Amino acid sequence: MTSLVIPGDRISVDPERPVQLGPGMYCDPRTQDIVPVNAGVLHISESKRGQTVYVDYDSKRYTPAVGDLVVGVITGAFADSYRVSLASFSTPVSLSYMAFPNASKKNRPTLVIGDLVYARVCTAEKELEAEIECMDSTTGSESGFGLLENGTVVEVTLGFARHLLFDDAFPLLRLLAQHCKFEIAIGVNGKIWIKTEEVKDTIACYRSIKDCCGKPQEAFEEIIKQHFKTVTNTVEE
Amino acid sequence: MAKDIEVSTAESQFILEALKQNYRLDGRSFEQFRDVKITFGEELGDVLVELGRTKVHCKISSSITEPYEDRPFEGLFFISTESTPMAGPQFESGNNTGEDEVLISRIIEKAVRRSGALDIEGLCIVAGSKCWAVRASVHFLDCDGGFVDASCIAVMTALLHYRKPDITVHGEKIIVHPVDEREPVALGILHIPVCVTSSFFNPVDAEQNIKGEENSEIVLVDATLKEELLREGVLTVTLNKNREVVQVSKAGGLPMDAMTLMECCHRAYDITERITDQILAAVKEDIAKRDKYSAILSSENAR
Amino acid sequence: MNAEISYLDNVDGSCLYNTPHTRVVASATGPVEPKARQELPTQLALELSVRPAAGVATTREVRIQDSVRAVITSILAAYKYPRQLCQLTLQVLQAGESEELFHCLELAACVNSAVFALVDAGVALTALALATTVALAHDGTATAEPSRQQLMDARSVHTVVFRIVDGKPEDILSMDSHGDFSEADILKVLDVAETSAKQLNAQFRETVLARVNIV
Repeated sequence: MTSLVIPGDRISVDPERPVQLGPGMYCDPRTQDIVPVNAGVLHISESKRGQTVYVDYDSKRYTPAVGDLVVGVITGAFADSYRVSLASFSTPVSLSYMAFPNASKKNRPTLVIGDLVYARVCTAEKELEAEIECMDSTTGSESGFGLLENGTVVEVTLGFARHLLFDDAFPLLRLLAQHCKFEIAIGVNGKIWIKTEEVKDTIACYRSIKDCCGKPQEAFEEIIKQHFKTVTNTVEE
Repeated sequence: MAKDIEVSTAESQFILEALKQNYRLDGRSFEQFRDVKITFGEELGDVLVELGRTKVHCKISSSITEPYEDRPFEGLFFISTESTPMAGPQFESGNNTGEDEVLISRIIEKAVRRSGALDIEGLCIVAGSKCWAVRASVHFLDCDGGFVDASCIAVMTALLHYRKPDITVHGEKIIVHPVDEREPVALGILHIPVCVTSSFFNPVDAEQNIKGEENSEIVLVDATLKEELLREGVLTVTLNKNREVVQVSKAGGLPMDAMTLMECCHRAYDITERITDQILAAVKEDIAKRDKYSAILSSENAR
Repeated sequence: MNAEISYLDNVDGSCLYNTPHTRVVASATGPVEPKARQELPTQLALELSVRPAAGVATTREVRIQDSVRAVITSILAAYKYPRQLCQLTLQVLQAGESEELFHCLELAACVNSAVFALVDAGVALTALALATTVALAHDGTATAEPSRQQLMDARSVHTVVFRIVDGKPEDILSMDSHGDFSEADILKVLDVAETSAKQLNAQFRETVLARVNIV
């Protein structure tokens, strides 16, 4: 069941059965009322464990949640961990030296301040500093995490980044692939890292992603075509 | 500024590499000034200037007060510029002592107030005892680079657009006529200064640049926020349509030679000319629109 | 009333709020890292500033600021973000009233635009708050959203802020009254204000939902 809600609306859940609250939902500690706290699309689904409720909403400010794939910038290095920024002005998160594949006391990672990393959020308690890791902790392998070399970063809204990462039918990447070869890392913190072989292709991808954010999917093809045409023409001049 | 926006090494290297290959992120050419959009509010002297995504609002207000003792024949003119976290979280509220904030307000002050753009002698009512105090309140709404350039346009447009109430002087007594009773009067504007900011980037390493064998620095006109964060030098030239240089401001950064300075000034002049025309046209159009209403009103009254 | 949401680029949430005479821009950023002196151990700190259209902020703006703060704190789900900060900046572009005499239209516009900006930023709110201004004329007629002239002619002016739960005004968060009035007048004013708040809420919902739909 899906519908649009805004903060303070009453929603229909059975209070007798257990309820799982996702993003955008809040249980008032005093009244124990369950209310949506963001404006967006309400999703209520039935599972074996009970009911699951969350609000799908778009915003620009990222708050860490366990399991999220993120792109971060190293902003500091300490004795046993890095400090990583997932969004400018937000509280930084920590990346332990032990959260890399094959890590040991002797074998230290070689990241420096200003580097970009692709990582997964492993702990996120609102009272504590969140932690991220650069490996798959079940297998201990790299699994695509770690340093992102060269390329550039595009900042988009969180909703757009989620679509790009999870929605297989989302046409953007397929359309970009028709124009050039690229490597991409999508962080749900709204940072998308992209790298191509040539600067002009990266520029075209950068402008395309930026412009497509907030536009209907039907418009993507034309936007992308236009940007690739512009960069090619500039070279010829 | 409170805290800085974090830019990764990869990103800054990419932007510089793109500049070397003649590309800017937003698709402009190096000498291109962003399009300026001027919108007027309901009241006179209420202007919103948009320079790309940078938004600056300016409002003019006036009151009658006592002139400074040492300048009895002059009125008062203030420009207040205060940045708030509205323009971006890098600005701190209530703290305007940061280097960037001070520089922005000093450059605007110099460009407009100290260049005598407003005829302050014309604000005198009774010498030594009464004069107009005109205040330009500049509000930075959204920062995507070019605050100085946008603010200067906003202040000048607002001054040209503003009308102060008409007054009659009987000895020491002053009658201020309400706006609906007597047509308010425009301020005396002596010239229209326009600021054009150029940013410098160094594509080679620092040592080579200082030794000055080749001057390969990249010059960008009207940098965006990202470009401002990465630039290594900045030059603001203020000119007016009469080809007068009002101010040249360069606070540190990459060294530059005389030829580059001349080039920047020439380029700035073309932009100045175009923007001056745009400001005048916009003000004229809006004032004419307001006049049309009063024309209808007056014809009704005549009947 | 009309509001342009996501009006600014560099903040998390923003809104340009227009009523026939008053214009306010609101911006909200959060949750971000607070400065040490702002930090609250268990909840979200609110940094709020109200700036006037002309000149520098005076006690008058601080007064509006305090009223807005009281309203906003009561609807924020502040315990969701311990040791975090929310920056809220309200810039009046056009007061729409004589600034020496009144502040009610600005107060109402500030509250409404602040709520819009917070919703846009995705900061958790447990309910909405909507403000409306009512002017009571000498002959006893109450007008919602008065004009500049109606304010000047009024016997008393009132700004009422309602908490909106499930699409209806549920209780009063704040009431700011000036002038000469009796208990009966207050009840009448509340009645008119409630009707006006309902209308406002309908417009508000429409604007917010339009934004959600675009996404």
